[in-house]
Amino acid sequence: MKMHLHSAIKGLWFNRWSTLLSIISIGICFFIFTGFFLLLYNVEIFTKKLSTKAAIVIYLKDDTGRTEISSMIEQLKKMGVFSRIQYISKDEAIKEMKNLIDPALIELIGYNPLSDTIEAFIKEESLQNIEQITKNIKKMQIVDDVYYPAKIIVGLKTIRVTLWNLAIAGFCLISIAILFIIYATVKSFYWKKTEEIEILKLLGATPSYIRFPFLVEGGIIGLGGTIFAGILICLVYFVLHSKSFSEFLPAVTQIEFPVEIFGLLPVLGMFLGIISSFFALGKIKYQ
Amino acid sequence: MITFQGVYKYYSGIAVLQNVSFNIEKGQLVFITGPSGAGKTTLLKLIFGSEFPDEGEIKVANFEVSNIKQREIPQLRRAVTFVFQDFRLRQDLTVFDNVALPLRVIGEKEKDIKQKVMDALKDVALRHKADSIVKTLSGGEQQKIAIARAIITNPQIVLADEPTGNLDPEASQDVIALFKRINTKGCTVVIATHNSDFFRNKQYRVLTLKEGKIHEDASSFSN
Repeated sequence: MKMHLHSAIKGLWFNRWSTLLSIISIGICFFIFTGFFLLLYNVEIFTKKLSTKAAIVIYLKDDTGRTEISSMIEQLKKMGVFSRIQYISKDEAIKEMKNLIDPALIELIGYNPLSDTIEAFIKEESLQNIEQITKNIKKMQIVDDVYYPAKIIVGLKTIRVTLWNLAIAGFCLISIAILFIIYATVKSFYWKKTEEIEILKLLGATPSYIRFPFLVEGGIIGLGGTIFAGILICLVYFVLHSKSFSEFLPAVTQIEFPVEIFGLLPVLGMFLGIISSFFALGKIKYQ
Repeated sequence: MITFQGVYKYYSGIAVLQNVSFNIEKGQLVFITGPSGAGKTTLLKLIFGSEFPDEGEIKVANFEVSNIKQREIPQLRRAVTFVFQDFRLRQDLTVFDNVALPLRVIGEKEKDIKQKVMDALKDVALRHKADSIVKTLSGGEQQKIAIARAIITNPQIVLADEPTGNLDPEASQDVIALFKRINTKGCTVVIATHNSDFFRNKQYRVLTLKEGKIHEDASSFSN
């Protein structure tokens, strides 16, 4: 193991310029990769926040009694799909309305045109069943009509799905690019060591013995790439959070940054490095 | 130890070896001779598993070389080692590291390697050169290092293809003497050479190849 590591490090140092170039290229790929991830992560958080603010508004029939309203609220609670249920009487509603519209205009109507309503805030995990939930509520006796922000929810869904598809395509393309860079680098190292490898084959070295230093080299290149990407990410993070930048664009500071990514990136880098090195070497033949 | 039975080998449709059959017993020292292009190198490559016969059977040290699987070849090459005319040494490494290489390949512990390498270098009288870089040494010395590397794992068979081809007469005699010494320790040695001086008037088995066929299989002493 120690000997293989030594051999791999020696090999990388011998080819230091191509190694450095690969690490930088892979680092940039991982940086873009992380950018995609952060975009997706933040969109997820944003859509979740927004969707939990979306409520189903249940308009109740006129002259619905207090007991019926209480029993309906109980029924809604039992459904287990709402995080918060709020009853707003028609009197309270008109009071609120008077804050928004000129009270004189309302007085002109001569009566309270609003209905008693229940606002039910749907739980995030139940959001996908909102249509069915609404249908079920509509069937209830005291319900006059039900409204939910369908356009917003469908819009958010579309944005999420599109971003996920884009991100998956991006991840795949970047992963392929990373694999290809490491593949080409390790393949060139392998060709440079043809004579050395031929000697090892003559001495009875097994394919795994021959492969191991190259796998280590690939792993180190992948790891180096992620370290480089990590440095870039940190730089960008500090620039975005710098006083001058955040004053100019305060929304930037709201971007969520999961630090776990610093643990995951090196593992992913090493994994991709080892995999691509394995394929770069192909089958070791003795003939 | 080595058995060839009706072996044929073709290159681009031309027969390089034709119906070659022979048997080499354990502990023999055999010279394979013949003119250039007679098939000496091909025969050694077939024993070593770097070429495979088109027809016939080859058995080498419990390995069915004619049907050997790729994954078994490393094991075969630990039992059978090869000394080349061009040495095939790592020119960038020290003498010590070159000789230690087969031991590292088989996973020997570093503390044991040192002793074994020094012993092997003592056998070829190059112990004092252990720390020298190979490319700074003469051809004769490099060939001795190649021999030390070939014997360090105590193989059953040592093959040598024109081991003196690049050496002056004095160095050649030293190298052949080394092979003979290795053979006296019980190792089977097969040397391909076109130089008959090495076996003339001595009781060694000599296989003479001509146009890919065994022309003669005899003890040189009896010639």
